[in-house]
Formats: sequence, C-alpha cells, structure tokens
Amino acid sequence: MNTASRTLHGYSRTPAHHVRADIMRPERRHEVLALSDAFPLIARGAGHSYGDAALPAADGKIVMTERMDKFISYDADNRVLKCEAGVTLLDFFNSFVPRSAYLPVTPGISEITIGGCIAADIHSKNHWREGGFSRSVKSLSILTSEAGLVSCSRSENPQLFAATLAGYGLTGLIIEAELQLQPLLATTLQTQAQCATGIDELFARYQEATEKHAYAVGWIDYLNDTTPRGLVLTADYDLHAQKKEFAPWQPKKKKPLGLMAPAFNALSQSMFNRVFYAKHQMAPSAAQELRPFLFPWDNLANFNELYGKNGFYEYQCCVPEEGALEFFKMLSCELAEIKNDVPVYFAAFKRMSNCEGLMSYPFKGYSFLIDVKATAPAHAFLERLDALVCEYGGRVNLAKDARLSARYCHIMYPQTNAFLTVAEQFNKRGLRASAMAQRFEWIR
Amino acid sequence: MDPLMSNKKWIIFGATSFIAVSFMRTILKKGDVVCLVARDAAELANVAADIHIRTQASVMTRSCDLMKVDDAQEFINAIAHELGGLDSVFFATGELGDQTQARTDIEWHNKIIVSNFNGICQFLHPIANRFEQQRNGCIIVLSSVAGDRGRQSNYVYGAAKAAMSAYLQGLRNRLDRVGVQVLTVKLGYTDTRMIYGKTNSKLTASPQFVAQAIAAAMDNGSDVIYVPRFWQLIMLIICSIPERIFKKLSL
Repeated sequence: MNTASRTLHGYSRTPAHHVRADIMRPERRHEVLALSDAFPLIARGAGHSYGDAALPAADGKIVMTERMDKFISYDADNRVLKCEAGVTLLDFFNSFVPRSAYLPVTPGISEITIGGCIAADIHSKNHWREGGFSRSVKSLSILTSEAGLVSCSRSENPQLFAATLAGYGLTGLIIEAELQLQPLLATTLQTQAQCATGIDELFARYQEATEKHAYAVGWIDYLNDTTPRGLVLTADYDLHAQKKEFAPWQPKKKKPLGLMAPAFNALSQSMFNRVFYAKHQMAPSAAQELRPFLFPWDNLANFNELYGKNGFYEYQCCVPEEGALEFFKMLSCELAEIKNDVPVYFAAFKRMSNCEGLMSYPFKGYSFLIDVKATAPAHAFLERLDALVCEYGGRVNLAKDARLSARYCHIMYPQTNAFLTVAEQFNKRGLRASAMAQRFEWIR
Repeated sequence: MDPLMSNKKWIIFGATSFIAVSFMRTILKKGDVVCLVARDAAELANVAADIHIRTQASVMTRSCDLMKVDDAQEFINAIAHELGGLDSVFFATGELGDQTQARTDIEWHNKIIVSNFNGICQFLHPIANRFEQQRNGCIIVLSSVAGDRGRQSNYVYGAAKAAMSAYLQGLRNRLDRVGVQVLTVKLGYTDTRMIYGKTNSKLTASPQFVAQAIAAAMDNGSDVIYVPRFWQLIMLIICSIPERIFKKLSL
C-alpha cells in the first residue's frame, strides 16, 4: 500500500505534538485486513483529538480512515446501522435525518468520524440523560494484531468491548461498528438562555435546568467582572414545529482563521464575551435548526488556528457530584487570581453520568472545561490543577488532553491496568500504539 | 431539486474506484436504478451496500473484467433489460499503468492501451446505437489531460486517453443531433489510491471535488471539462510549445 509522509498535529496545535508521520490510507476492505503487523499502527479519523491520541508511536505509522467510510447495512425496522469507522457524522446525518433516525450523542463538529466517537466515547450536552456515544454502540468488529478480526459486544468478548469504548484505538482498528439509532422526532429545537451572576447562582440554575430540559450547558465569562457572570443554555426538541424538506448538509469551507490569530487575545475575547452575554440576555428564547444546534463549531471547525502557532490547551475535568460546587468555586478563585497570566478564553460545564468504557472520561458528576493559550504559565497552572482535580477524586478528559503526566493519568484512571491487560492480550508487542500511549507509559 | 427530474437508469463501469463512488454518492437518488460493474466482486458488494443505503437508489452489480467480455452488445442488452431501460453510463475504468514498466514489458504496454481505449470503445459501440435509437442518453467518460500531448514520461497512457478523447469527440458530433450528451472529463492529478503519497498534495483534486464538477457539467449539458479547471490553461500552454522544442524537454 502507498504511504504518504505528512506533518500531523493534535487539534491543540502545540509544538510538542507536531510530527512527521508515515500514513497509509486503505480504501478497500481487503487492503485494511492486510495491514502490516511489522510496525505499530494507530487509526486516525478527522484528527480532532487535542493531543497525541492519533499521532504515531516511535517507529509507528498512521492508518487514515478517511476512505474506510462505507455504510454496510441498515435494518430500518429496528433502526440498527452497521458502518465502517471512517463514516463522518456529516455523512451519517445526511443519510439518516431523511429517515427520521439519528444518534442522540454527538460531538460539536460534524467532520468527526464514528470511529473517533467510539475511541473517545464522546459526550454531548445531554450526558446525564443519554450517556456517552458508547450507549449507541451494540457491537464492534476489531482488527487486532494477535487475534485478527474479532467481534465484541456486551455479551461477546465483553472485556474487549469495554476496553474499546474510549480505548483510543489501542485495542485495534475498528472495522465495523453496529449502532442503535433513535427516532428523530423533530429537526428544530427551542433554545433558552438564563443569566446568572456568581458561581452559586449559576450552578443552582444549571442544576434546575437539568431537571427540566433535554440539553443543558453552563457558560462562564472569566474575562470580565470579578464576580463572573454566566449563562445556562438549554434546548429541547420542538415537536410542534413544521417539518421542512431536508436540504443536504454541505461540508463547510474552512475560513483562514489563522490570519486573525494576532488579533485574538484576552481583550478581544472579553469583548466577545460581553456581546455573547448581552445577545442572550436580550433574546433568551430562540428556535434553532438541527445542524447549527448539534454542530455549532461547523462554521469554525478550525477555530484552533485562532490561538496562533503555539496552540492552546483545553483542560476538561470531571469531578464527583458531592464536591462539584466546592471544586467549581475553588477553580474560579484560582482562575481569578491568575487572570492576567492565564486568561481563560472559553469556559463551560455540564452534568455527567456514569459510562461503561474502562477508560471513559465521565462519571456521575460535573465536567468543567477551560480553554487557555499554551504558554509556560498556563502549563504550570494546569499541573497545579491536576493535583486539585485528584484531590476531589476527579479526572481529565484524555481526548482533550495534550500535557497530562503519566503519573497523574494512572491516578485518575484506576481502570488503566485492566484496560492495558485487555489491549495487550489482543495486541502484543505494542503493535497498536500511539504517541499518547507512549506519553502515558501504557506500552509495557 | 427539480420535481420533474426523472429517475435515471445507470451503468457505472469501474464502480469500485473512489471517483466513481464519490460520483454515485453525489448524483444518485431514490428512484434511480443503477448497475455497478467492476472486477473485485467483494469490494463491489461493499460499494453497492453503501450506495444503496446512502442514496436509496436500487442497486445491482455485475462483477467481471471488461477485457474478458466477448459480446459487449449482449452485455449491455442484458443489463438494460434488468434495469428496465438505460439512459446514462459512466466509465471510470482503465489502468493508470507504470510507463517505465510499459517500456520493457509489452504486456503491460498493451494492457494500458486496451483498458483505456479499446476496452471502453467496445461498450460505447452498442451504447451509442441504443441511445441514438431512443434519442436520449448521457455518456460520461473519464479521460485525462495526459491525452492532450504525448510526453516521454507518460505517452502510452496519454496516447490511449488521446484516442479516447477523439472517439468521444466524434461520438458527440454524431449524437448531439439526437439529444444525447457525451461528456469528456479530462482529469488532472486526482487523489486516488494509486497516486497517494506520490504527488504534491496541493495539485491533486479530491474525488469529492471531481464528482461535484462532473455532476455540474452533466446538468449544464457540457461537452468537455478539465477538472480542476486550471488544467485547461496549463495544457493550452503545453500544447502550444513547438514540437522542435518540446521533443528536447523532459516533462
């Protein structure tokens, strides 16, 4: 198979994660099945992992799943779809919205692949109700280096299944995924925004919102006032809205956001935050179509370029319910103190529930997210945050992570050894390995 | 979408190529019927399943090597019978070949020429007659900018494509008066599995882009298109170089 040599990077675009990689791009099923076991391989979909989950291990190569993108079968009566890992959510929605079927858990950008959703067990703004992407996965067919093609599900090879959900590709290449789709009852949503001042009010309003709404996310402005203001953004499907004829979703052309990087700073973002807050304050209710609601980042799929050549860090951590508010307040205090050195460009939080992947990020609690420029002070601050998160019994989302240490990763993910045992059983000699696996010292 | 747009009946030759797959994903819709033809039976089944689920068109397959079909007329008739008619054909067949190998290996040399020219023409023969009789039809063939001028690095493939383009030109001249469209698609570098990793990625067009361009050209009733369009200018320049100079170059 032909191999291309290209420079790849994680979505956070930090210099540490820019690598020259050898890439294979199989197109036909027999090409995939014949992939060499002479070197470590890791699959790469849309490349939206922030760090090095889809970057090669030393002496390793990349398998681009771009053309492993076929639908295999669809059982319309039961809404069960079988497809290859490279199918994008854009392709999926284009084919299934007209059939009034969908996946209830999706990431924010539609060019992301089904394989990526499984490998990171992605979550949406409805996790406490719908769980992670893994809940839609019925079974998988995985190409391992020791056992060839292996099927797994909750009843067949269940340990392999649990290791592959949020397995970051390390149990093997996903060849087929069997997904349970849900009926899509509407293509319009009613969104609402509630204003709040201070962490206590914001958190309380958010908790109330989760009792009443299908989707809910909390947004905080850490750049302007001393007592941060925030919004609770909710949404529900509008079952009474008139159903419009479906117009296929087109891929969006990427704008040259990199050109705006010099003007993108704490000041410009603080102004944006004010406008964002005011806009929602003035027009709290709005109807929104399915695509802009589910995939708000499609118009800005390369927003990472705004952060310039040093990139950024997205720090997302989940803490248990009991200590969540206290943690939120501690985090906000720390952020207020460090505001000048490490301004926060974007901050949000969501309520989460338990997951079944051995290495799945969320559990019953709250997930907090901050975006900061990747500077030395930011790096130092995030290391302190790691300690704080551990104190609260929480953990960091590895799909968003680009700088967590192996030590903290082991503490945060107590299922690591169980995960590695399964991965090794099916892929000895580190033949399914990534740069992330090396960073976390997962290759034993 | 035009509500009066009728359902089409297609044969797609070389249906396992990603350009063909992208084209089918772009233009097929519920109500269309399509026969996919390719050598690789297993991959053909995979493509058929994908196209059917994505587009909801009715899909059938015919796995065979076009070089080994004895009776092209019968081949076309049999498929047309199963489809309930025929009004559109798309050819994405032909070995890209290795010029270096072709210089030493006469079998390869012949294979490149036959698969890119004779092999396609033998099917265009009955198709043209059928379309002329029914006074309706659309013929799309993937040709190449390599056919615009023979050059030392690629003349075996280029000559076959040049012959193909001339044949299509003649066919167009014959069939335009009965309302049949003959579309010659002159491709530049396209991002296929054959050339992956071998060329500068900035010059290659994606199969999705190519598919969109062909679909638009089909709707517009175009005759010859260069995909991407900048190749038309490049080839204009290349073709204008006098032979006494060109023969000394190493393009």
